Amino acid sequence: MSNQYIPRDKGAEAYELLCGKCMGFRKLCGARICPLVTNARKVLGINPISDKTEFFGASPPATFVGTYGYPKVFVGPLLPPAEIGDTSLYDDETQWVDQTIDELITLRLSLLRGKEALPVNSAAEPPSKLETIQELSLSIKSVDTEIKFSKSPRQITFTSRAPPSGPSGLIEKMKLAENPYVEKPVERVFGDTDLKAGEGIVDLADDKIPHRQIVRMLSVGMLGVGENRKMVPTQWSITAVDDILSKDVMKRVKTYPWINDFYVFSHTALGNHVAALLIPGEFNFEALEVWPRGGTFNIMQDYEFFQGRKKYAFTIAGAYYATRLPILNYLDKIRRQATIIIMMEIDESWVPLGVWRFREILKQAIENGPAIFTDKKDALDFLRPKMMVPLEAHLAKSVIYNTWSTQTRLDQFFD
Amino acid sequence: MKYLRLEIETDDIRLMSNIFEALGAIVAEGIIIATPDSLQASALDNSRIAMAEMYLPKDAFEVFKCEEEIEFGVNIKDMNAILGLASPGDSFKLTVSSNQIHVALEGDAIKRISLDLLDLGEANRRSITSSLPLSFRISSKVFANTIKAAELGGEAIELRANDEGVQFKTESGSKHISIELKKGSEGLAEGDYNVPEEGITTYPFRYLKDFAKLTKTTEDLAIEFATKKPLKITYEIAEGYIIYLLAPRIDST
Repeated sequence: MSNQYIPRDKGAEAYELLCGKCMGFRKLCGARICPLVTNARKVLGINPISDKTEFFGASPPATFVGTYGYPKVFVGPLLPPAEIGDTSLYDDETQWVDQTIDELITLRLSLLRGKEALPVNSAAEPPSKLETIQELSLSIKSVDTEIKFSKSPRQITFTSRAPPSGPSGLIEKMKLAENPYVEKPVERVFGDTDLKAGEGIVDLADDKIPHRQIVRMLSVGMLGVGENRKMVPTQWSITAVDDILSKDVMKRVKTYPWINDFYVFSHTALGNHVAALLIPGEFNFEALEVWPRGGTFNIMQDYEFFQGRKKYAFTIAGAYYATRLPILNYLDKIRRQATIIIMMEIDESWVPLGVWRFREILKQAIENGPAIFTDKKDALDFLRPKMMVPLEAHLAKSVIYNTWSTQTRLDQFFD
Repeated sequence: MKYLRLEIETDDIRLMSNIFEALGAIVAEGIIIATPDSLQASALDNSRIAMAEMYLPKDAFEVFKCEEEIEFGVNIKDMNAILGLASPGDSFKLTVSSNQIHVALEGDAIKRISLDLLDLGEANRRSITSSLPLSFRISSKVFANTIKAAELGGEAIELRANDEGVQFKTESGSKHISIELKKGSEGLAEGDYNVPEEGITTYPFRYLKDFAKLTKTTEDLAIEFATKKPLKITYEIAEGYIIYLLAPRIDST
């Protein structure tokens, strides 16, 4: 089935297949509000909160920059009302893999989101509210924050790549009730207005600044050459950071010797199964994603050979970049390169949580350690029972696997 | 002044661009071998699927001074960027000292650029020994058009040659592309057509696109292959050659 618009009168079966491809963010059906998201809201019983307009709480810290209206976007902080102290759990994806979907949704939807409409290029000379949001973004620890909304907050936020958040409203006033705790590398990169955004992102990662803080700084326009600083919607920032960091690691990984065996990683959490098959060979990468529904499934894919991709991975989108980074980090750590096939499977309990779940589930799979096999058949036999969709269906679809299986090497023909 | 181990000059800036573009299609960094009689290179890509071999005799250059064989590692990407600075009509001068390459592009202005030599270990001196009994010459224009049409297809391209001519086939999803060339046609000269038996082999397409870039430099090119054997493409350039080799895909099932 191709990525084409299917009119509403084509029946439920067509929709089931289409939803399995779209998963709430590819906008394939043409509906203004995704039926999956609508359903998630119903299932989760999401309602507007009280009529209050003034709130106090410790922002984890967290911020959100939307895509709606780009290049004029809504930017603002997220904070759990009435909670103080360490609230990092609300925004720290690395702590979420062991939560249930209900716990996670409850956690995230209790975050209030303040909004201020600003042109993205206002980050170069930020007005006062944005300056406060930027100050908050610098912090590595939770920051007590006061916020007054112009009306009581309504409407939750679900996006494809960023985690969901709770009711939002326009900010009338906002103030940090304590000084943010700023780490030196963060201060240095923010203060260096001659440093390009990409270089700043790599510098921050090299200094072990968490991924979510780098995303936060990029999204609220705190990176890049001074006069060119712009806000970048959060969901684009996530993928940009994944991509920039991957490319940096990839340069090293491509110089390492090949692995000698077959490595299998697998982990299931939050209604998602992520498996990685590493094959001896040069760096090639493929991400396959499938959402089996009602006994049918449609495997989608994006891939790159050693030479890399020139175009954005439109089919798998953010999940492609979110899974490429941790597996490259692993290979960098063991100083080897490999041909990589990532298989992402989503069960019917899925709700749009953001691409972080694939990154974190894969990181957990890597943390669990690889099962290593000298023989390909043994590796596939080990992986097969873990899959929701038959492994053979993934392998038949995989361009990288089929290339690897049939491609000879010139040194076989040398003297 | 530092001891110069190699000194070459040519007024044909395109020649140098072609050489480094050809090597750049395979590797980002490569080793060049200079002997008293020639300039050579052999670059195997990281995946060991594709390879470029270059040979240019000293007569290809206006000036060629090299007293003894040397190998030097070069950042090919940087060399391509440097050559991109040349204006039409510029001459090209390259010298290699003990630790650097010095390039001068001379025309209305003189641009001098120095690069550090890279330590890339030993040069690859291996090549394929398999015999490739099927060979033909194809016009560069026809080959370039064939590759352009095949871009609509997938990752693999099948090459079939028999007594009647040559066929390139590729497919992607519902798209099936076939390009047929008859023996004796304008693009496939009969005199150089040597196909004693039918041969069919599949090759990865993505490399062929890069290999076809040199079609703008020659009237024609030679192709050699055999069933389940590598593909060899030879461009004859400036009394020397640039050869591309490509490993086949073999379905073992």
